[in-house]
Amino acid sequence: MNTSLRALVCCFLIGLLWSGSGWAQHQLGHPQTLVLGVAALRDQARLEERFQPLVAYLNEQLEDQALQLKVLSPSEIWQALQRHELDFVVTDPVNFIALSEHNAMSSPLVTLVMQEAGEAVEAQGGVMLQAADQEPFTDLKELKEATLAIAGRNFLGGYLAQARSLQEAGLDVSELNWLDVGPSYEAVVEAVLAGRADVGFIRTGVMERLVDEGWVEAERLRVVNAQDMPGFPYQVSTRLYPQWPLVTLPQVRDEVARKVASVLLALDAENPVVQQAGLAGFNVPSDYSVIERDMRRLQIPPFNTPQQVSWVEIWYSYQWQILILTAFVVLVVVLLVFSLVLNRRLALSREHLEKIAHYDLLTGLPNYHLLSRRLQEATQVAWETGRSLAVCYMDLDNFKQLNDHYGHGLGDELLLSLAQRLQQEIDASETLARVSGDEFALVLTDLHPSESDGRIKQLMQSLHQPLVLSKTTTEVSASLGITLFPLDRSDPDTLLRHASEAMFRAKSLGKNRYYYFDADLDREQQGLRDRLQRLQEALEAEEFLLYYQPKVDLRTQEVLGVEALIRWQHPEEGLLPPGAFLPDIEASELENPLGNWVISQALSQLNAWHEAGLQIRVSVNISASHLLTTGFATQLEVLLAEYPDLDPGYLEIEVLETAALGSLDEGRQILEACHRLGVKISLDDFGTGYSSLAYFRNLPVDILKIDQSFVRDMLEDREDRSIVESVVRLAAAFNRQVIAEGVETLEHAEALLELGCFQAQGYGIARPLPAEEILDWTRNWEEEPSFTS
Amino acid sequence: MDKQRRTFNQLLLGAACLPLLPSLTGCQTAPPLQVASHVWPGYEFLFLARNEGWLDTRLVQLEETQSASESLEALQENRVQAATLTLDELLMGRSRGLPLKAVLIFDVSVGADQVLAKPHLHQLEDLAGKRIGAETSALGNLVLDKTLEAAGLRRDQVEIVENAASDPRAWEAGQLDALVTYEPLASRLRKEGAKVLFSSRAFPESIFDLLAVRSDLVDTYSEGLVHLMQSHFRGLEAFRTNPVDTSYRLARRLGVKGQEVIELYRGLQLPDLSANHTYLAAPAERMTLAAQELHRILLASGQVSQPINLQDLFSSQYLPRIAV
Repeated sequence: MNTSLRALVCCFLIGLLWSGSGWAQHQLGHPQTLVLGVAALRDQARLEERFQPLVAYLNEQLEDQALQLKVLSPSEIWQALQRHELDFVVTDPVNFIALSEHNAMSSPLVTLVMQEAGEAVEAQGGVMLQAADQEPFTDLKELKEATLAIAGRNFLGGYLAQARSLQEAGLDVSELNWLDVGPSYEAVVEAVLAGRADVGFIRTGVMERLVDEGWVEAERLRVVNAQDMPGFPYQVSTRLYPQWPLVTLPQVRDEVARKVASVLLALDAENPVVQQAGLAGFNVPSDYSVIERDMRRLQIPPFNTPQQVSWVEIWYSYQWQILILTAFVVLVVVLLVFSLVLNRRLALSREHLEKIAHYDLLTGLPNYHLLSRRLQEATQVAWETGRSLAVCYMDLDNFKQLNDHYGHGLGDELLLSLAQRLQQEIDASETLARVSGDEFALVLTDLHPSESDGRIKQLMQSLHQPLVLSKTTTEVSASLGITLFPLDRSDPDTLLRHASEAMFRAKSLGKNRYYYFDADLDREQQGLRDRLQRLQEALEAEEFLLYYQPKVDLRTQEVLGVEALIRWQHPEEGLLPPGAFLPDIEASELENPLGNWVISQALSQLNAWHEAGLQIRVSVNISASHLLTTGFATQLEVLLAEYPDLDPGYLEIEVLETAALGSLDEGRQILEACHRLGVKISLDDFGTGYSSLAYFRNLPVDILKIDQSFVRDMLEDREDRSIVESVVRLAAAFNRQVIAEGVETLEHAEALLELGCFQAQGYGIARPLPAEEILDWTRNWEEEPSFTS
Repeated sequence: MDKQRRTFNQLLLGAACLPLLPSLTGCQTAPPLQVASHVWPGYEFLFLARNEGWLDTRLVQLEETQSASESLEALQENRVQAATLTLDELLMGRSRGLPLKAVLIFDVSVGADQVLAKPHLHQLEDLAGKRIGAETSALGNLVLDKTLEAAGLRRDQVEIVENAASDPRAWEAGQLDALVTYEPLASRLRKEGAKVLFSSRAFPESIFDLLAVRSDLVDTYSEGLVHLMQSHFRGLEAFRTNPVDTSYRLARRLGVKGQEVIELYRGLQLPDLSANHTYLAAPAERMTLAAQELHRILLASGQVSQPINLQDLFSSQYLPRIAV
């Protein structure tokens, strides 16, 4: 068969057009003119020439019909169909199906049987070509990255067949690199040869035609994915599909269609008109549904919009899947709801826990924890803004009695009612908390210190208003302690403690009042605590030591004894006198241990001196409170027992003359107990403070000591001199010894001698000395007494 | 063996008889089902499926044989568990002690088996006293019996010459007046002027091509069996929806051109899945009748000496379920 004619048949849409105005004439019953057409991209005139004999043959056979042939381009075919100008059309199956979707064409009348390379062929397919000098593609999957040249997407053998093969190989057609070179297979082959495309798609037979025409050498091309199709005259890369149909349009009457079909089916391959048209005849129509299905799979227009599927179809196709999916979804929803409910419960219980953790259950007020946190924030804000805040600690007066009287139920009611009232007295940024029982705390913010009094008074007033409870109406009062931040620059917990301390102070002052915490006093007390701590450590570290001040007989120059005086050998500050630390110790818990230490130390030294042959007395100062401690005498006895050879009479206890001692009978009893041990007792600082003769007379005192303040001034002050004289006489009258302290000069000594007071001590005789110096000093003094001034 | 039906295309088969490797794939839960088959249009959809890559070789392996007797041998030697056979061949297998069972019908002959005659014979009665070439198989005897019955002749009124159905040499040498044969030789001889005097078109429901499975092994290989059947039906569906393409793909093994393939199937009915269910579902009356007739012929011709147990010959339970 003539290859160029075959090419026309193969490559392009063929429309056998029977002339245009057929529709009106059908209706009028005039001899009809029917239109067949050929749509061709090239050589339209030649194709018309080839088909003319077939048209002429049909004209003969159809008698009363006039036939007309038109060769049109694909777009002209489309337009002609839109205008209902065509009665029969022979076309590429892809176009037939596309057109039938729009134009309600009838089913194909016959299928063309081609005469191809000596074979009658009812099939066509696609070819994938690559340049022979390129690396061969051995698997269609390799085309994923390749550039694919096509003449358009409306061709069965030029696109659909290949695209479907690639889809079957697992590639996504929409993601491939398509190069549309326009409706020409020569252009496709050119693109491949020029390297613009890796692979070109053409219809079966085109390559062989181009080789026949000398357009390209067979050696330059290679067929990709070549199929083994015995009897098929061309190379093919894809599945095969039916050849073109001849289709009747709806307006053609059935008898005309039947006649055309019967004439065409009757033509055999030997008939010259068939041969001239390049055909082997016509056959009963093939099943084109395979092409429609593939067009849908490839979404070739008009199937490029999603298919409408009814719910019923989905149900019938997927009922098991739908049921399983639905069950799964229901399960998920149930689990979701369940977990939401659980979460909600958890959230609620978390909220509840939060509430318990931070709020008081009775009143709903913040508890101590939350108060502490709020206070932390409030102090931070106050610090940054420079404003003050007041921390008030409030305790109801006589709440216990009220509770006992009315019962706990009413007590709770009262607390709740009171909480509500107090709540009204503060603004949102302030905090009212219930700390415990009947104790409340308030944090009043954004204050000036001067405003605080006003706020507190207002609170007190509010408290005093009668509370109407379910069974009774009552009035309450409270004691308030207040501390102001940053005046009291403490941490939140300390602020609360301070406020609470101040509250107790208010209570002790008689309730129903408020009291401000004194920050300075607190700081002083803190200092005292720190110093006592240090003294405690000093005692443990044996930093204390005793100095001894000699006592002499002014007549005989004899050394009678020494007074033990405490010193602190401070590691940093050096030797400290008692005045630097004893005031702190007074009335502290350190007083007794230190007193005991002094006695113990003095006894040890006394023993040492006696063993060295120095027969002197040692006196120690004991505070009244130490003396009054239960078991003092027993303790003293124990200490003395350590030195059995020592005569207790050498130890002398100097007791400060105090009202505390004198007013208690037990003081006297303790002194008597000590006296019974053999220990000498002296009354220190006699003449100062409270004393009465009766008192003095009843005490087991051996020695009176005249206070140095009288002695020092006796030379100038006649009154002091008469006091000294009185004491000396008193001592003589009661048969007590007497000693003067504060003897600073020889004149003092002479004056005392004159008054009859022979025992003396003082800077004029000797300053307090370390123990090791006493022995030497005594020798010196007894050899050559000398007063210093 | 020269009495074998369906043994055309010797050329291709010569190379095809590769021994199947024993299944050594340890990871499989079951070894693949091995199926012996020779070339016949009805069986070809299995090979189409294999060539198209639809057949999972981990589940099914096809062993190509040259003839049904070779397939029976493979069954007997335990090299395969299934084979494609005609119903009479299946009965022969049973007579040799193979516990075979038909689980799939590939095709039913509705004209593919023919009695061709020289042009000078015009009607069946003209066969009287003539030389008729026919196989001595049950199938050959069946066609011959049916033909003589239709002609109103007894066996002794004709001269029966033993001739394999696929062997045209005696015919071409002019030694025969008539020949019992089938496609594709029938088509060829017709083109050369032979006349169809009689065909299985006149006695449908008699000649079946089946998948025969060792019933004692069927449960072990049920997965492969289902897959094999699904693959066959997939090939059949391809043939139905795109006969043009499928024809060319079947052509190579059938030894014809693609455009000639359709002709080979003219005389065959290819039951689809639901038709298979209809044929094979118990009590499978039509199948049983055909088996009984073949059984009778086998006994009468002396091909088997002992009656064959015809119980449980057919089963539809391994067929894929019909989709709703």
